[in-house]
Amino acid sequence: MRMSPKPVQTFRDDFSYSNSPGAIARFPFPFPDDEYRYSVNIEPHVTPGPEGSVYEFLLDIDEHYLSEMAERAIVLEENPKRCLAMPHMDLACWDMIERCMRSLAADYPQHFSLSVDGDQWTWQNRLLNIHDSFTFGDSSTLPLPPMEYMGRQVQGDFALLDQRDGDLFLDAGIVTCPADWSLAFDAGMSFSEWHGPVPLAHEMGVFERALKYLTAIPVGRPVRRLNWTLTVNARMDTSPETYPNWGTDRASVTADNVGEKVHLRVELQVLDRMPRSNALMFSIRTYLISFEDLVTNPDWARRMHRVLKTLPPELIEYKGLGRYHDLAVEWLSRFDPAN
Amino acid sequence: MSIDSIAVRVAAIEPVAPLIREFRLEAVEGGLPPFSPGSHIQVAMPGEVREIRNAYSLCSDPADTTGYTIAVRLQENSRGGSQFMHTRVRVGDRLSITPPANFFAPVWQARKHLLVAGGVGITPFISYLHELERQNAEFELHHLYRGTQTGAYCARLQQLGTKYFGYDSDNEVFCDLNQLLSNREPGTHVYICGPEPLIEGVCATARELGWPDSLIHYEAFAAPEPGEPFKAQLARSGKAVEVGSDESLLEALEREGVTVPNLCRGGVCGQCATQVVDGAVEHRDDFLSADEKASGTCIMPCVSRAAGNHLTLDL
Amino acid sequence: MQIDPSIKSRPKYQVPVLVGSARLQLFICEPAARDQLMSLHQQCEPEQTYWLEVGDPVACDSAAESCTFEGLAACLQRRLAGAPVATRLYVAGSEAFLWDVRNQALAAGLVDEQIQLAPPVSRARRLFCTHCYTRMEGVETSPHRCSGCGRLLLVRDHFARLHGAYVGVQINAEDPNEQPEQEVLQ
Repeated sequence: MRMSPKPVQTFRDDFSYSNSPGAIARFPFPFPDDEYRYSVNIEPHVTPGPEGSVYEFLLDIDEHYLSEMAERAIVLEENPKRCLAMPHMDLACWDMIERCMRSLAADYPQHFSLSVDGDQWTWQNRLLNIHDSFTFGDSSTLPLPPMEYMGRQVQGDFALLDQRDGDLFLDAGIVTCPADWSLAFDAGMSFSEWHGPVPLAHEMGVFERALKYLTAIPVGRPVRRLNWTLTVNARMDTSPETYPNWGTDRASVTADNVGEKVHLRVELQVLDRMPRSNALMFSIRTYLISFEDLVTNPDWARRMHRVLKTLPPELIEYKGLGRYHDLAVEWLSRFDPAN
Repeated sequence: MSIDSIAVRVAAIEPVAPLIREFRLEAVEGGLPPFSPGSHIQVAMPGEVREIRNAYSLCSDPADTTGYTIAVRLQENSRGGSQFMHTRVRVGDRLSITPPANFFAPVWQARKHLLVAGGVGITPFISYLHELERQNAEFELHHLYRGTQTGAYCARLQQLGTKYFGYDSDNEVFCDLNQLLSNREPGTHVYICGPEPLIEGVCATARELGWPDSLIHYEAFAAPEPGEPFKAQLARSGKAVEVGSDESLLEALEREGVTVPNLCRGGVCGQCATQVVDGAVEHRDDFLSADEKASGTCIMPCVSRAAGNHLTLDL
Repeated sequence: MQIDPSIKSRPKYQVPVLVGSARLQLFICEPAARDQLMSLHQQCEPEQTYWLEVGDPVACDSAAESCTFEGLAACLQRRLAGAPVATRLYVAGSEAFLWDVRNQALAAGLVDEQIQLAPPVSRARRLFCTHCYTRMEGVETSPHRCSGCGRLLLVRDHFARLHGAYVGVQINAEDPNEQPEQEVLQ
């Protein structure tokens, strides 16, 4: 079933965020096996994918749209540097605007519409009451810089990667719901630099192979992968910037509250070649589900237990799960018949 | 959206030089995607023996989504592609193309772009010119050509004024590479497209003059060179494929209905990498590292061939 | 928490080697790092070389040309205007200084292949507070108290070339009562 945006819920303070049964059913559960290991798990993002799934379209607009856009506005209000674009990325930003607007208008005509007359464009976003006309390619005709303008209307974080010398550089982005990385610090880094802190994978040659694959992605053939971690409370903004606000959450998990506190956080990452600039658009769409909701699916419950139980210590530390990993495994074990 | 091929109609054919024809291609339905300067497409042609697929640079305005232009030079040793385009294709014909891909994009941070074209190698730069002018970027175009044969575009290029430098060797006007590359300021990037000797000449001169490699860019891929015939044994399907001297291993596999993912058909993109089970490889690609080539376990069938008379592949 | 020794963003430095084919050899150093470049400088043709010391005027007194940190960008711009593509730049000093010069050289049109950074003269790091974006110089121990927001920062090995800095993250954000021991950075 297709998801309609519901009224604003919160990803902070009282954490009123919740998943409807429909949202639980379409949750992108990321584990193909009982044991999690690194791999270059990239596959073609062929659209339209299965109807109603998170893979149906290039950009997934779901019941949390208004909530996530409200959360993004709060983060940018607190810290405008969570969005940036280096000057040589201007054409790439317009590529992103074109790709997003055309996709949204085609895939969700009830919410978005676009009319194009030469370089005179008119964009309507009925969910956010936006109705703007502008000259395509001329940033001065937009009410905000192009990256921020588009980024405030799409769920998930976005980065634009400049491709040069056979490498990819993180030269523009809007990052308000990251799994513990900072755009302000990582800006301008090469592919292997910004993955610097990831343990184990470098030695396995994962990034070298991934980079060769990614630099050869052609126009019109996006690819995707899933990544995951755990987050305590339904908090979207788990950035290093705000870590002092959410670090203590990790110490708040007890045997009694695992189900409601601990969330599986899944990123649907899509890489899409931008036709005009040759940049890569990297979208990171985050889905959160509480363990309570997750175990309503017995297959997921059993597998989640086995994945966590066999997770290598380096990954437990890297993902910041040390304080509550044992509690989570213990709580999940009751759903695994092997125990 | 996911596109593997786009059906196009030949909207116009224009001879621009004795050996060069320009083809304007328009989508059978809707428009075409915009592209980045230096992009190429593959054109699939229904040849008599097998389907012929050639890569051609796009030489129209990258922002023009109503049609693409490619320029095809009739090759003396044509393996079928350029001959087909010149003799068989008529206005109104339908062809199939891939979406644009790019291994020769401008460096957007460059302070100045120095474009060096040899003959029909001018084509990718035509798309550069549109975008560089739109962005008001600093550039110079140096065009080496033979006026009697491939002097295409000269009249159009003259309009660039002081940014255009033409060298017609039929008129005894030659380009002094040393002079061209001397006294350039930091932040100048040089881009070369043309015959192999020109690419090698510019690269060698630039390096002698102390240019760092990251400022030197060239369109590396070329049509596969012919070689000795050999037999490819396919370990998994048990098939045996004879590879003729004038076709690539990839083309021979496709002729036999074996699908291998591919993109550039020129040894650059790495998409067609195939595991080698047995046999020595003559590597001709720019994708595999020296170590990978030495190990002999992988081949890029779009350009590389057997070093002996057989290869066994994991297909 | 242990500092991960394998972080790939941490730069590796090598003793500079003279590139003979260069037409202009630029040497830029802090006075304390003079010795690292002097012998290379002396091997160059005098008309193709340029020596610049950056720091306070007293320390730079013996240098033919010097400027302050503040004046570096303008000085570099001036020197590189009209310089040949075959320019090579050799830099020596503290780690943060190396990357400041490198970034300004990039802004002036050079690329990384033209720049060699000598091993830093000390272990002192520039630290970027990921919470308030304050940059602190000369950090030698971890954790380090942020001069901007007052938080106690774990100094990580993750390095950003554009900032010339390592990232600092609050060390006891999960349990503010934790009092971690201080260690000397390697």
